[in-house]
Amino acid sequence: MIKYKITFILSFIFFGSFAQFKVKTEYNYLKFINFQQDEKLIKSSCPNAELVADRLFFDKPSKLNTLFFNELSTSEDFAKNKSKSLFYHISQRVLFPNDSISNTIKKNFYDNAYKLNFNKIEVDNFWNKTTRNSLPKTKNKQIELILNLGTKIHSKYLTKTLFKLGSQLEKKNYLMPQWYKDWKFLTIIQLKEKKKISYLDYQSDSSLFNRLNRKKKIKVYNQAINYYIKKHAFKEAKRLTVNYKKEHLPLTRKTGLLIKKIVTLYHKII
Amino acid sequence: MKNTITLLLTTFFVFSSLYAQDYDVYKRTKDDNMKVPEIYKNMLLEEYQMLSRDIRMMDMSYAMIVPGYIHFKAKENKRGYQILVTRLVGYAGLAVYYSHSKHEGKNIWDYIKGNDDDIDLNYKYLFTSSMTLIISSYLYDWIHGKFMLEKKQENIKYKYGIKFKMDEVSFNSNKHLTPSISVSLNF
Repeated sequence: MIKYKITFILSFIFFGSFAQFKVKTEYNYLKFINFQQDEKLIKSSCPNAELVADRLFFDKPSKLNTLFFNELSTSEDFAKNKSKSLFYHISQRVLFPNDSISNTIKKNFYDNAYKLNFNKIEVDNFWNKTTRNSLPKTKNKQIELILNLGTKIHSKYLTKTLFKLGSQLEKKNYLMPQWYKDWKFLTIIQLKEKKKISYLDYQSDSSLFNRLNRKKKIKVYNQAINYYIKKHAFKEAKRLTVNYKKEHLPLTRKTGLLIKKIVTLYHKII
Repeated sequence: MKNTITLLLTTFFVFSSLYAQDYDVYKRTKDDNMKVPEIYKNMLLEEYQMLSRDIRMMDMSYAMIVPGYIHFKAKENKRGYQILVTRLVGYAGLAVYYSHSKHEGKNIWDYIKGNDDDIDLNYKYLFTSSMTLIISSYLYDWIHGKFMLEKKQENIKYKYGIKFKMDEVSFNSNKHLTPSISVSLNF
C-alpha cells in the first residue's frame, strides 16, 4: 500500500513539474517573440498560446500563470487582436492578481478598451470590477465574472473561448446565471456578437422570451427557426414556429413562414 | 530536317508521357503517402498543413486554370479571392473586346499579329489592359504566393525550433533538482 502511495506522490510531483515547465516554455517563447515585435510571427504563435491559456483558467494562482497571461495579452496586442488582449488582461487580473503587474498594464488596458470603442465609464467599470479587493473569493465565481466581462466586449473573436469556458463551468454543476443562458442560446442560434448587445440583460432573472418586446422576440424566433431547420432539428423548429405564429406576425413574416416551409421540405429531401 | 525534328519531338513526348507519373521535376513515390510524420504535440492542423505543402511545377498549371490557386494553397484566402476577381475582370475585358471585333467583322488575331491598324484606340487599350491583368495576376499569384507560403513555413519552423530548444534548457536545468515539500501561506 505504501509502495502505491509513494508511486502516486512521485508521479504527481513529476507530472506537476512537467505541466509547469510547459507553461514556462510557452511564457519564455512569448517573451522572446514579443521582444522581436514581428507581427506575422506573433500572430501565428498566438493560437498555440491560447490553447495553453485555456487549460490554465481553472489552475491555482501562481506567479508563472500571472506572467504567462500578461505576456499573452501583450502578444495579442502586437497581433492587433485588441479584444483578445483585453480579455486576457481581464482574465489575468481576476484569476491571477498581481499588484506590480497591474500598475504596468493599466495604460495598455485602457488603451485597448478605448480602441474597442468603450467609453471612460465602461473601461473604469472593467478595471474596478477586476481589482483585487472586489474580486469574488471562489474560482467558479471568478470564472463567472470573466464570462460576464468577456461577453460585454462583444467580439466575435472571443465567442469560442467564452463558450468553451462556460461549458467547463457548467460541467462543474455550477448554477449559471440567466444572462449566460441567454447568451448561450443566442450563440447557438448563430446570432452575431454585435447584435447580442440589445438582447442581453445582465440584471434580469427572467428568461429571454419573457423579457423581450414583440419586435425583438420575432427576430430571435426567426433566427432560431432558420438555424434549427438548417441543422435538421425539425421538431424544435416546429415547436418554435408554433410560438412564433402567436406573435401576430406582419405580412412579410407570414410570407417568410411559407419560405421556411419550402426550405424545411428541401432539407428533409436532402 | 524539319520532319526529323518533329518526329524526334513527338517520340520524346509520347515516351515521356508513358513513363512519367506527372510532369513534375521532383521524384515522388506512392509510398510517400504511407509515411506518418512525427508531429509536435501542440502543433495545430493548420500549421501541419502549411509545413506539408510545397509549390511544385504542377501548381503552375493549376494556377492558370484556378486564379489565386497558390494563395489559396498558402491559406491567404483574401488575397486569393482578390486575384480571382482581377482575373475575371481581365477575362470580361477580353470578352468585350472579342464581341466588339466580331461585330465589326474583324479577326481578333489580326491585331495581335499587328496586321490590323484600323482598330478603335479604346478597344486597343481594353485588349492590352485585359491581357496585362490576366498575365500580371497569374505571375503575382505564382511569385507572391510562393513567397508567402515559404514565409509561413519559416515562421512555423522558427517557432517550434525555439520551443524545442527552450524545452531542452528547462529540462536540463531541472536535472539536478530534488523533490521537496514546502508550505506557503497566501493572504
